[in-house]
Amino acid sequence: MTLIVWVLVGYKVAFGEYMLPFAGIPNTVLRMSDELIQSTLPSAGVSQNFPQSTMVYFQFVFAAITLALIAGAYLARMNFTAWMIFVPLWLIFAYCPGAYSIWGGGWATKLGVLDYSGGYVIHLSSGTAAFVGSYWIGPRLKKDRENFTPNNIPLMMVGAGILWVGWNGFNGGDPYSASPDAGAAVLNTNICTAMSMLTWTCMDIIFFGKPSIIGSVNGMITGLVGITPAAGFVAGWGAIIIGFCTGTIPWVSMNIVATRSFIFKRHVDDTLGMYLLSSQPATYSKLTHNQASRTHTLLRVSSVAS
Amino acid sequence: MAGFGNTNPGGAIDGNGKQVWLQIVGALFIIGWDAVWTSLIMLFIKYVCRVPLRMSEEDMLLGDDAIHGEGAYCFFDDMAGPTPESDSAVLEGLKVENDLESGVDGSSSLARHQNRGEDIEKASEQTKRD
Repeated sequence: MTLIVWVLVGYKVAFGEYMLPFAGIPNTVLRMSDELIQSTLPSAGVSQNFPQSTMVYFQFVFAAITLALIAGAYLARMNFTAWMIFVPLWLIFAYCPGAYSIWGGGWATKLGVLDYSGGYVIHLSSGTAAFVGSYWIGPRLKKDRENFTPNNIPLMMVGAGILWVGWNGFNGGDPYSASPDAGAAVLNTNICTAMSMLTWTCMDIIFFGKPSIIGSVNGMITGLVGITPAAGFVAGWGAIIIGFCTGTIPWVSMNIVATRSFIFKRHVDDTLGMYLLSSQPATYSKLTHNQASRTHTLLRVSSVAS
Repeated sequence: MAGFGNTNPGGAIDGNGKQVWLQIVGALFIIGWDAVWTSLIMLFIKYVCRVPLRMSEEDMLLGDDAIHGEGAYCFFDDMAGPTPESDSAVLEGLKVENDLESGVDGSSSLARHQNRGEDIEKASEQTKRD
């Protein structure tokens, strides 16, 4: 559904010509000429050496991931019909203006706000939507909240592997060219993730007395998310610092804050966010949306500082 | 251009402290914008479209996979899983259980899990003996 809405209106709102400081003029990208023409971002005044269809698809995947992350937070209690209404509306009114503002040439682009590969546009926005939406929908059943063991650890590991490989693709793809920046981004992505995974595992060993595969996958994911807004901007040592932060800050917020805070227990139940790997196998959604995105803000600041 | 061009103005360590403030402004914009629109959309769905945001309690007890008639996690002793058509008794049981907020004691699903554990232990003992 995201793709259909994306080609009908979304792409042009997010990356089209100027309409408002935070939105482009809505239009379709369905004619053959739309697909074959050279890719340009008119509001930002840049063009790329590939056809627009590539750009439409590349950016669609970001949009789809954002919605998938939100789905992870509403899981196990949201009405399916309500979700089907939510998806197109949220894509058009929440995602696209954010993408246009920061990436598409809107007011934030002009100011100079940087977001390498979706720390703000994707993770911070899905984290906010996950948190706020979870408040409106209400928590899951008590039974589900108490029992959150992962269903299948091998499957989770397969998903984690796919995720890591895929992440190379989008962080490496974001300079829109096979540039030195792309190479740096891929290496930084892996440095940060490795550091984060290592740090998280050490935190588990220090505080729980034993390393855990689920923990290390958490650390891996927070590392991937953490480097995303900065992958092409920081130096290698910056990536190590970010990796250390993503291995510790979300660890604390997940293992200490989330288990004690009244708000998270009673009012806001972010299914896969708070529960991370809850009962779902693999794929994507094990990310601590809220914490990760909050950490994001910190990381963004720290990565720019470095 | 956010990462999409190759300009990097540098951060606070490089003497560009303004960038840190720009990042904070960007983050606050995204948080504020999405918080408002997520709420508006949720309220629109609930009050204008009159579509409930939550599944019914009965459906939640069955599980969000089972209500579509597709148990996502089926095991050898539990191939079909409960569905609205096939297993109203299980549903009744779950309902009572939830009313008591027991969640642990006498839970039929948990009992099934324990039984399964025992079965596996038995099976593995059997294998060892063999």
